[in-house]
Amino acid sequence: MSIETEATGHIDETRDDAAVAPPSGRRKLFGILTLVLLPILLVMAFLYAPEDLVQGPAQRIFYIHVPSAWIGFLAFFVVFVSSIALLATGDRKYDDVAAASAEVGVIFTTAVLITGPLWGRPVWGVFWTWDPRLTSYLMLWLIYLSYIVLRGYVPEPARRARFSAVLGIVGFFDVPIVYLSVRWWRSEHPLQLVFQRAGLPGQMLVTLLVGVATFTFMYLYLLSLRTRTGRLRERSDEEVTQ
Amino acid sequence: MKDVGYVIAAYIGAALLYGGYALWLRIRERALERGDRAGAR
Repeated sequence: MSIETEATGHIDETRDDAAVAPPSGRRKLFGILTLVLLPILLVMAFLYAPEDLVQGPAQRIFYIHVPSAWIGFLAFFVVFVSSIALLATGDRKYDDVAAASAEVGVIFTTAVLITGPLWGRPVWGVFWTWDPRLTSYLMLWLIYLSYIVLRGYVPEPARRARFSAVLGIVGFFDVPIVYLSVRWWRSEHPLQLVFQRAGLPGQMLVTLLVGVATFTFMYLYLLSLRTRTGRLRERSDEEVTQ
Repeated sequence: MKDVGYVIAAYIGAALLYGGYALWLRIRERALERGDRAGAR
């Protein structure tokens, strides 16, 4: 079955694995690690990390804003890789992962678009400015929002998987544009100096790394939960159409 | 002091977004496991 699929480049209309596996132990572990790390992150962000001399308390938004942005990029990278794997093998399990990661990635980028303006207002004096970083980031959010909308408009599973895979691959090219926008064009947004010698002070760096770990486990938990929910929904749709 | 309000708003906003999404997914998952399509919207 899989050899024929690979040779013809087709995506299966039906699946071999009709049953949806129960929630995995790893998902539970990711959930527990997230719940353990979240209060630690809060304590570190508000009590352990020193207050920024220039930006004052507003800089504390950094500890949720930056991890959300980085894990959002990771989520879209997973969409990119899964989409390539889907087109290469025709195996619909990659479509499940891509769809789940895109939706979770949109949640993370939405968090960035909420926390960013709340940080920008006290520091820049405005909630929003059409700066290259902010504009390219808004475009990234719109691309993956359109990915979700596209999936809702194509009822045939194989066509939906193929169309979304193309958008998942093309859309990812905005990620390096977002990342490099602060270097390519004049931007209000700060440069990424986190790991450089003159970058972040030690306590701020440790707090940021705890934030990245927390958000990584939260991403893995949400990805696992969303992938399973997607499979359950698809099985339910198949039962209705039969 | 006004800046603290923005910080609290950012943290509460993020908590509501992530927590709300996780809760919505869990409700959907349970409804679909029961075969309740209406409850899984």
